[in-house]
Amino acid sequence: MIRILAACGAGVNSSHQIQVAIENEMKKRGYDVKVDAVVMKDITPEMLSKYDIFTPISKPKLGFEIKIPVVEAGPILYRIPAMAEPVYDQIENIIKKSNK
Amino acid sequence: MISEISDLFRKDLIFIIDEKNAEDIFKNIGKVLFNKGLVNEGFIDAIIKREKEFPTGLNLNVLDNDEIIPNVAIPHTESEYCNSKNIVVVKLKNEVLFKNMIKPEEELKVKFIFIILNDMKGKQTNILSNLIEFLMKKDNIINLNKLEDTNEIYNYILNKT
Repeated sequence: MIRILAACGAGVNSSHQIQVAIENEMKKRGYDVKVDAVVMKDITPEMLSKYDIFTPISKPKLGFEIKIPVVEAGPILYRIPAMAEPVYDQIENIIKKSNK
Repeated sequence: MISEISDLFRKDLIFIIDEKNAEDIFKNIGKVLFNKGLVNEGFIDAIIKREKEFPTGLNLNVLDNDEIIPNVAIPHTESEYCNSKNIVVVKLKNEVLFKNMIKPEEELKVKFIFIILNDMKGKQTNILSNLIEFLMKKDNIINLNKLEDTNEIYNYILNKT
């Protein structure tokens, strides 16, 4: 199973929407994923180390080095395929390379 | 689907104002919301801070359109500062700069603000997605931009949500 962490400013609005969208789309594409949503400021290196992919709303400024692949997921929020597809494709490519 | 949010709009929560920057908009509208008991005293500072750290401008011109659509912002803050569940609509007489939600380094000229108030933690998700669905229907903002009266704006939104 691939573990994905979504994040935004409050941890309930945008990140939750990103969470649901990625979970649904990856299941549709045949992958076993589990997505969690958190507040950006709560993220620690320890927390991130438990995930395979990080999908923040925009370019993250966490103050430490991120050691897992990052996919900026904000375009998903527009709810139009033309914006969301490239994000899903990036995530799928990372999952394929991970051989999990 | 969108009708989930139509109850959240109120005739007295539609504003047409003229301000120079985001902070002044939040101070002006925040005061009115506080006087109506819809937010608490921490709201104005909280929403100003949130907008700086995690901006909410939406570029509505991401697809090829025949005409330019005015951009919007969807500011919101943590549930602890709100006493109600509403969407506040602010039309700006003159555009104000907001940073792009998904590309914070980019500035957008914004004409409409939809402030999301929600006192229930974790329940904002549907409001946000339904609101964005309304905003992304190309004609909605173009039509709203032609209206200069708060009652007309309210009636239009109610018809379309």
